[in-house]
Amino acid sequence: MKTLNQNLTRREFLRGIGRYSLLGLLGWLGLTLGRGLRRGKGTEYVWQIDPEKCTQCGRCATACVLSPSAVKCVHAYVVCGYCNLCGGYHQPNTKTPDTAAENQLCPTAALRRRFIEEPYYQYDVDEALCIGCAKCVKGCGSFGNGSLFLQVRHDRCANCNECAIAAQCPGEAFARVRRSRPYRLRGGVA
Amino acid sequence: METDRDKTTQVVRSAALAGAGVSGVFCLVVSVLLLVNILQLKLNDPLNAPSLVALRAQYAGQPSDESLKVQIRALDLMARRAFFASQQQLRLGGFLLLGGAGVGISLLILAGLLATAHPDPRHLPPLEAIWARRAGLRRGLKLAAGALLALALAAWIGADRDLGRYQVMTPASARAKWVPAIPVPSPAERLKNWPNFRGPDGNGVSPARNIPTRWNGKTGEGIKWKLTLPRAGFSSPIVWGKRIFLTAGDGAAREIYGVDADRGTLLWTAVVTNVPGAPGELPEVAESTGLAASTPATDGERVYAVFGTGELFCTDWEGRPVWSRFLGKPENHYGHSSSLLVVDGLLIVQFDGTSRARVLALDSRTGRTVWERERPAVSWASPICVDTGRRKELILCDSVGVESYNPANGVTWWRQDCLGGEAAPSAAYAGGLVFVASDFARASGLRLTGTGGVEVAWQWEEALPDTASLLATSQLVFMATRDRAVVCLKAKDGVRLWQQEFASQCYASPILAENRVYALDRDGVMHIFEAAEEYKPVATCPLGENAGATPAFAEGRIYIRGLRNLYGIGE
Amino acid sequence: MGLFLYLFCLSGLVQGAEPPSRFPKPEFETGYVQPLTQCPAPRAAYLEWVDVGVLAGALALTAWLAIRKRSRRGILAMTVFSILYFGFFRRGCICPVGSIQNVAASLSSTSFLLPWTVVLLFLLPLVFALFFGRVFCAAVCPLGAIQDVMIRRPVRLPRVVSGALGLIPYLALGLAILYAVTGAGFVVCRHDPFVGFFRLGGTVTMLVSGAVFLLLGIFVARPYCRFLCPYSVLLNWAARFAARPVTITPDECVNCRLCEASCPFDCILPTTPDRPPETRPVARRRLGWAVALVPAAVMLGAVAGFAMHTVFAAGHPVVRLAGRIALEERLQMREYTLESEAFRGTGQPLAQLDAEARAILARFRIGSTVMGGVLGLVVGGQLVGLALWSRRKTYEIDNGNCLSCGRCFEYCPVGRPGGKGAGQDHGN
Repeated sequence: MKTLNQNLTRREFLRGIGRYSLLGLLGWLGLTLGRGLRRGKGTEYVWQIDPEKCTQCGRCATACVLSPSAVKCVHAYVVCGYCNLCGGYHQPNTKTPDTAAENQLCPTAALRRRFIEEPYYQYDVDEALCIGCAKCVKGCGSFGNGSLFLQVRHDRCANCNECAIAAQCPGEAFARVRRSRPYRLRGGVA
Repeated sequence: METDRDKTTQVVRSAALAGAGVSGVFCLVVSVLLLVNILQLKLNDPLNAPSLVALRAQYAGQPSDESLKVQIRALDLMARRAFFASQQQLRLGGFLLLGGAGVGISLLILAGLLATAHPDPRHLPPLEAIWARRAGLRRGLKLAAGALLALALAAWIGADRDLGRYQVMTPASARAKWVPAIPVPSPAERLKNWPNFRGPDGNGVSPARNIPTRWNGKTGEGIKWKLTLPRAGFSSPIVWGKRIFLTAGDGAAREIYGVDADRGTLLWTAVVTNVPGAPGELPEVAESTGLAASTPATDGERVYAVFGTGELFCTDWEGRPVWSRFLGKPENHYGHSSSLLVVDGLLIVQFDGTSRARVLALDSRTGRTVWERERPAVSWASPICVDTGRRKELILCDSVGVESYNPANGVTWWRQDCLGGEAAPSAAYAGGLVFVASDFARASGLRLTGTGGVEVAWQWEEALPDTASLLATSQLVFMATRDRAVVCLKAKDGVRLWQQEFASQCYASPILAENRVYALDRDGVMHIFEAAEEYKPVATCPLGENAGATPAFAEGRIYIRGLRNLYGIGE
Repeated sequence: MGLFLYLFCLSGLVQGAEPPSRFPKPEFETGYVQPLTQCPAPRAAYLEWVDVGVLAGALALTAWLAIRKRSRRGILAMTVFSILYFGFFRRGCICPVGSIQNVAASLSSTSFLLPWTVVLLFLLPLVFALFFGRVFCAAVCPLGAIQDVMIRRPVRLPRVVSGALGLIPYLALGLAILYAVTGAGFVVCRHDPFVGFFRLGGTVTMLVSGAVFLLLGIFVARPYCRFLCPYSVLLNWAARFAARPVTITPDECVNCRLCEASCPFDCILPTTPDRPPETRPVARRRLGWAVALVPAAVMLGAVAGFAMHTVFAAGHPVVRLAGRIALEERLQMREYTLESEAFRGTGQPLAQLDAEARAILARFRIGSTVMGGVLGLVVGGQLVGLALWSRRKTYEIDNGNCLSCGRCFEYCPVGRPGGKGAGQDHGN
């Protein structure tokens, strides 16, 4: 019985050493990893798309873990030219710039237009319909001012540890950005 | 009492288990339906249904077809409905699954709580088997380790250690092929037109027939129409179908014109503006070059033009801007003058300056660089792209030599340093020989060898061209020289066959059509003679206006750009 | 050099956030006011701290329930809570399992800084394991919780199988770290089988593999936790040193074997016969062989790891892209993939990509070799462990593997009232 107890205490002692050395290791790890805070940098991040790197490949519509995707087309009104014939709204080679289905580029009719004054039209994105396919982004980028572009919408995004779209983005346009500046808009709007 | 309670417990537990089973089956059914739905959505995406895409393509060709419009509208509506309905189903299915799973799991937990049966130690292996268990664990470990080693061995044998050689395509991305949005025009279609400087290949040969040989710009004889251009420029006209395109420019503005080839009316003017990154300040250029010396190019769908400012501009068929790029300020003491060429959906831009000389191939849809190569020296020549029967060769001259590239990726096929001075004449190709020349250096005939390189067949140093490009048939080579002559050499060995002097020098490059050579001199006089071993004049036709641009040829027509006017000649 | 400089300037222009302005800003005459672009804010930062707080609270509560209260029902309630909160409400992304990769990436890169919330997410379960065993696995981890409620008819796997499969978590941990360190991505998150359920959507493979694991889990208790989870390796080693892990019985063991039969994870170490069935020399020789095997196993593992490095590297997007571009160049293909077309669009020189890919390949060469060596060490060490003989007079918990689920003490007839076996006895 005595030897058994001695055995136990010895084992306990060794376990204690192991335990507290591991604890020390974890503590060191925590301090090393927490260096961001020590340097006074906010390191909480969210995912966002850099519109300048986006190649409009269309994977945002299909790769997101959410359905429909948390990536939506965003419209920077300050950049928009308010054109009647809109490269983002109309099919290329459209002869009559109207709202007829055969002339619309958006597959879900999420892009809406409204007459303002001759010859200007305002374009709005209906995010409930938008699937983030970037067709309009491509059109606006090649024919217009580039006021339409894709952004991760943070009211929908699940902020996965690894964004499933980022893993498939051919242009490496996805990046973790500071939570304090969660969007990358064109035209300098915050 | 006790047994009653036990019985009730039993009944409740069985009911809970049955309920859990039912909800399990329910979940299974819902998930199978969901999976089918997801797969269906993946396999035939209604928003990109082939029928809808085909209809849209058909409509693009026949925009006035009302029944097509109606069809597209109906199909489009259906596609959207189908898409949003399946989205709705997915969401509903998700919630049903969640609900079913919740109920099932709760019932399972309830059944677990009500369980009266104990775990039965009698099914356990006997205590003595502990040694056998350890042996099993050991075996398992060794098995796993062995399997991993075998896997590593297989990888070592199977994997190619060269970075580029193992198949790294993912199936999904392999399907996404580079398809030009608009089909690349077929060679036959290009041959029917005059899509860039010096015709279909940039080689100075026109396949057109019934080319006029008699006109007089002073009397109006043979002139179908005459159009006064708003601005001047030394670039040459190009023709596609019923459209002529030309560029003009000065310090005030750079413009692209679309002209009706039958009536000679100016259809549109595209003003080059808003080129991203263009500084607005103009480079210094020689009077004789100007800012619009480079000939534009077209692929039948869009028009591409580059200017002495370094601005590269693409418009659609109606002159609306498609994309534009600033290439950088040209470092060029006369002014940038190399013309554009479209090869299989790639826009070739020779941008040779005294520094940062390079050649770019851009995606013609977007203007993005597909490949780019540095170049050794400045030049004013233009690219030609010929099919040697074995491969396509993109041949560029510079002030040191001539280099041939693979147009698809910019890899050099061969290079020969046989030029000098200031290279402005572009190369010519015929019958397996490449002909190049530059003033104050020499002309060379280079024979393509069986190994894919070239060898010098002959060289000639007497009378040399300084502006006009070379022209070649399989037998003869023609050069319009600086000293106002046209020289004809034997293609095979470079022996001079004849030499004819004119009153004025040719800036325009000579063009071969119907086995006749058309050489336009600076006075606007077209010298037409046969492509033969001796000088046989056919006609001499004055324009009544000075000219420097190379004329464009079409079926039964010649389009000549004078200093101020564009002439349509022929019926 | 000039070309590079120029490209740099060009990209600088593109980066200048000024899109091509082909059409001038309109001058409205009707007093129209341009609307502002609306951007919904992300989830508030303090809510992340709430999550960490909930995690710490759940860990503490589970530890209390498992060790002080010894209440299987309490643990079950926590399980349900975790499925609901960490699973469905927080969509599976309060996940210490995945945080391994963030930690590895942060340790290897100076620019990848972690927020404190993620550091704590990674550390808290390990610290708890050092004191109370794997209480995180018991009822806090949503991935474990959703499998735990599926356990119905657990079978005892043959030791050959469990011994072999037990090596996979080490491999998973190695790969997770390897890919995170080389910047290839977070493979654990990418192949998480259950997160699709929590989000009510995901890729088909994700959902199918999740369903397979759940259905398999009816018979093989918690298959993901035992035979795949990379975090389980760390928790296992921390729990081996636990100060106060769960115990089967509060009192003297009566060797009834109920606990052993009740444990679906095969984590109860039974009592041993008085003497080993082998003679001492045989046992010694076995031990000697096992010890001698360790360096050989390490070497063999390192060689195998080296051999595998190109295969692993093919999972890195840059290496894949470089391979693809090289293929296109060699065959002069014009069929570009989306990736190669995007790369060509940037105008970056091919040589730079090639150099980048080769640098990554070099990191894989080292990382993969080290990983193979460590895996060899694990195999050798386990063989040594299996060659050691220790006598047990009572039923003990295998602390490293025990998930603290509480099933064993629920059935333990000894001691306190409220244990199910005891309760039945009282009833009669």
